[in-house]
Amino acid sequence: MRYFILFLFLVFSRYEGIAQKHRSPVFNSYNSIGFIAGKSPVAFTVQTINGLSFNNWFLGAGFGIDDYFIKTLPLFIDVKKVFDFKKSHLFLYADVGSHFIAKDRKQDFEFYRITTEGKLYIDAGIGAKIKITPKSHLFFSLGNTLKNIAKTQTSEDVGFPYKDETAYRLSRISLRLGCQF
Amino acid sequence: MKMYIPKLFAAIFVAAILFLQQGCVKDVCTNTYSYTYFLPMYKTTAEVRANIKSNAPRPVVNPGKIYLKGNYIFLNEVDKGIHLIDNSNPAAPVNKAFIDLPGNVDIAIKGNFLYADFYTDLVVIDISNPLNVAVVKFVSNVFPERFYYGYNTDTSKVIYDWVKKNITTEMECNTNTPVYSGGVMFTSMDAGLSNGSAAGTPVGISGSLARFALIHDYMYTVSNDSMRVLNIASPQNPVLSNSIGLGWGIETLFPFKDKLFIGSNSGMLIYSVQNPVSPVKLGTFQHVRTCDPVIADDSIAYVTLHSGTQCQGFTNQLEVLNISNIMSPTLIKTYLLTNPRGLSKDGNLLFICDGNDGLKVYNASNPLSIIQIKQFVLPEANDVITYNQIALVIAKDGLYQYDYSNAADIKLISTIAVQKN
Repeated sequence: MRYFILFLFLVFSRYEGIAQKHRSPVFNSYNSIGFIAGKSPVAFTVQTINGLSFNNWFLGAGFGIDDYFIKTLPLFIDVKKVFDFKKSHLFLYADVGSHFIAKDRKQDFEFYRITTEGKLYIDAGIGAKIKITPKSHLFFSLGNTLKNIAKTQTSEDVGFPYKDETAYRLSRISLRLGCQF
Repeated sequence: MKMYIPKLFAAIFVAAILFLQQGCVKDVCTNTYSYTYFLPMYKTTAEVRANIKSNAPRPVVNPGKIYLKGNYIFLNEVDKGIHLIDNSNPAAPVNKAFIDLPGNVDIAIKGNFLYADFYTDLVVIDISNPLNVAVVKFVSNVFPERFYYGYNTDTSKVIYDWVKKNITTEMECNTNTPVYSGGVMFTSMDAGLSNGSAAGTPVGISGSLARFALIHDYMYTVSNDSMRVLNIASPQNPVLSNSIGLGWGIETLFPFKDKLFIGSNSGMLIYSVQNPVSPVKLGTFQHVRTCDPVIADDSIAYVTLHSGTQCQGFTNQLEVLNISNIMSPTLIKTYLLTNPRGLSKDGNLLFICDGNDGLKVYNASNPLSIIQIKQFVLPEANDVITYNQIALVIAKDGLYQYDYSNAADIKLISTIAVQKN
């Protein structure tokens, strides 16, 4: 982790604080596609985050698809801090929320039931924006994203009652490419 | 801007490598497994047998099958024994005594003799004075399927109780599931009662979930796959006379006149006991795989099918069968229900325990169009006995008695509550 912190320090030590501040809140929309990589197979992701920018801060709400391990639909709050450089902008971002299981949340079998629940969803990282038109940017981001999933198998069989709870804590990296306008 | 794009990609690539190197990427999986474990407690056979007597009354905790004889209700406490409840006044039943009888699930009564399973053995108990019952005889190995293999090789000891232990284990995923050793995932036998069609007298009345049935001088018992015939011409000295294979999934036994109606989880079997030692199969009615108590009269049989983890299947309904041609029962009507179990019929009134819907009472004067006239919501209503205008209903939380002398005004007259664990 210390190498990563050093990396961030080196990048942002070049921050020149060039003013591109909004004097009043401005609506922005970040829409991206990308990949999530971890110990399980690489998966596709898509996101849309919409909110307001003000003084190089951005606060928005996001929704997307996260197909890693189990397809889930994250719903989260997103905060970004944008650092302006001469010809581009870097940003730090953090997302916190929950996520919903896309299908088979509750499965009934003959002797037991399986329920799957999305729990905590977090994504945090860095990104860069490059202006492509006066009002739109192309952006890339890299983050460390976490999603927790709880899977519970219960049987109320009078002869064999049990509860089997499995907690997945999936820590991955996310790579996204998108358009902000 | 062109110069910056490769640099940004490079920066992101470097950061990705750093993430990976720093162990930021991992799938952690933990598994928490909770189950109930029952540890057998042993006593010597001599100790257990000496305690089969009228002991002090105990609260009803896990009621099983019920039997009605004279002024007494004999209520099985699953695998523990039998409650003796003085029901001289149905509006105020009194729990008078408890017979410690480990391994007991089923009961039948003829005259002053009670027949009960005691794990693999049959025990005969003289109940002429319910407050001072006495063991008359043990018949060994009548129920060999009730032997708990592997628990104790010392044949001088028997299991007299099971201590419940709730276990929770936590482990990394992809390791072995915990292994249960020395105990058992407890299998409660079908708790329930049965119905009154007294075949031969003076016998008691059981419910539709019973596995013991008395016809004249013979007692019939069913296990999961067979029927055993015991000669009880000498009531205190039953003699195992025959054993007949029935096929898997046998659940209940209902006697009517010279017939035995056997509920299995794939159908209903009808046996004639004209030759009481060697019952002969007359007919079968196949249905979907599920649990199915059955009662019958001269021309109509009522079969409830219910789903559940133990029963498999997903069917919950009442089936009405025409058994005029006993060799070939035919389905004449189906009624959808919630989770029907035990049932009983008295005259035109049909009583059905419908799981958490409770007790439902129907006017069944026309089997093709039975009409619900009353419902009493009870948790997990399991079985019902009707006798002398009183319906005894066993549910998860207690034993209820309803007076149906006036069908238009069926009312609850008493309750014996189940003590919560």
